[in-house]
Amino acid sequence: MGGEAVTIGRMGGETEGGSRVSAGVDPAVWVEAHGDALFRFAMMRVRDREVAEDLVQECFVAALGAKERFANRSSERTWLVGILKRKVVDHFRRKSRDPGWGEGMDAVEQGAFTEKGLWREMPGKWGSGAEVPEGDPAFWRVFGECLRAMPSGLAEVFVLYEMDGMSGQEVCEVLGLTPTNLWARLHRSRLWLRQRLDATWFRAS
Amino acid sequence: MSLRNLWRLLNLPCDGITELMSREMEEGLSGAEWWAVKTHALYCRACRRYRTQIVELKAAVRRFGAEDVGDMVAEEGLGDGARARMTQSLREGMRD
Repeated sequence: MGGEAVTIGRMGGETEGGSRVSAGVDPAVWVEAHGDALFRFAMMRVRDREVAEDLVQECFVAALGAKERFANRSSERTWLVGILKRKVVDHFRRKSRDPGWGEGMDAVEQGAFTEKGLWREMPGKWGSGAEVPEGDPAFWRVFGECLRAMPSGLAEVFVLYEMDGMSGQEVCEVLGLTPTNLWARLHRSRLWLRQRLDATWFRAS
Repeated sequence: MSLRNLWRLLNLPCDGITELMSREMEEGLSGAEWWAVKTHALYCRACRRYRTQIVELKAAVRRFGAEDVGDMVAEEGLGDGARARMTQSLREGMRD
């Protein structure tokens, strides 16, 4: 934790003054200043260390090629995140074309409901008021662990639609889904995530 | 809508109701579906809790996703190998 604080402090100092590419790009500074944050951004979404590192690398290479088009309107970080976001979308697009993508999704509903369609377990008592501790890093760590375990086929939908705010139409286009299929997956992803958070955070804390 | 369908909707168990609750967040429901959810929620505490929780989570997740770059989850960073690879490929890219 101590080492992390140092990194963030240094990063903060650098992005203030060093957030303009036009003055000339120092690649070592990019990796140093944004590498970890971009990696975490990708890791939270693609849930695989190797893939996340590859995407960050692709992002840097693309950014280097496009640096003349960086218009100084946003911070360097925001600009890089925008590029990385598109890399994540491309990755999901490829992944959704795999034959095995999304297998094992049906188990989600059977896990939550009995054959008669009734709750197997009463949802915990939380949620009214501001009970989701958004300011607590520990909560988001648990959230990240839950998301990491979410079945493939649901997680991609959840990330694009819920986390990154992409429209339903766009998500359907990227992942090759019909709207009905998209809503069904979204429903399952919520069912799944709520249950996991209930068990690992809300009941545990 | 046929009476049969209406009857089915109004007797929908929790699994079907939660699906409607989820869809309600995106595209809204038909009048009959809305009624089905309303009446079910009157007597089903589990589904009431469920709805509150997914609405709360949705808003929180959206705000989290829009944040700078998840500096909140600070425990993980690039591996040394990847870091070196990236520095190297950027350096090469700079020369071209």
